[in-house]
Amino acid sequence: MTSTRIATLSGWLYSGTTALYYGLPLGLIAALTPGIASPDWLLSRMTDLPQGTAMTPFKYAAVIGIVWLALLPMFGALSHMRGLFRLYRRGDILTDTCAHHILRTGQWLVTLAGTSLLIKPLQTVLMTYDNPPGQRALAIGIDSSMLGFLLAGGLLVAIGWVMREAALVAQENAGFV
Amino acid sequence: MTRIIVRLDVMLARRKMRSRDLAEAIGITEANLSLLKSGKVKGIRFDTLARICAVLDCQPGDILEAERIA
Repeated sequence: MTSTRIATLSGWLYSGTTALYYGLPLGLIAALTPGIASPDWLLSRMTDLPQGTAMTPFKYAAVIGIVWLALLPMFGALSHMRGLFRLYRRGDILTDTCAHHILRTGQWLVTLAGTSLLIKPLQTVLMTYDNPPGQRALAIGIDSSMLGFLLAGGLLVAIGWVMREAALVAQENAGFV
Repeated sequence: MTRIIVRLDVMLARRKMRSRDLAEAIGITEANLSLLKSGKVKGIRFDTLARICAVLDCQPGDILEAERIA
């Protein structure tokens, strides 16, 4: 019963994380497409910049690049989540490989919390570095999603370590008939 | 140093029972029973041992032997 529900749920979660893994880049490209034709569109979305801040092709590419780099940990986490759900779907639940995937997912989520924190400061510095003195900005923002990623990531790291121990116990138990 | 030898083959022969039938009777796979017979397991649960003794009508000492090795 337990194995069946784990396999069933993991099948759905594998499909979901796979859709997100491939859909997220496409969604991001679609969201940023208006800016390709009109770089000032991106400038209009960054409301905490001083008046008169100019957009240049270099700034545009760099701001978009920062977003992609900051989201890389998300792909790392999704990759390991897919790996974990693939194993759970076929019934491998208490193995060292599963523990490894849980641990790495947690580490990537903690990293994502860190990179998310860096997006706004980096973007505002990049956008205003060539402004006159007194009109340069450095913005820092912390929101609940960052804290959520940090806590969830930390939880998964701890669970990953515990699952490593559990996998050893399961391996030991498998030697008994 | 002492090791435990499993004499299950001997008891199966005495009772004229096949491994497959014993495995089915005690509720373990034939593969696990084969590992047990060859001594390639880390241990045996009391529950499994009790079922083996019940099916083969024997004592644990009839199927397990301690052998001193150099």
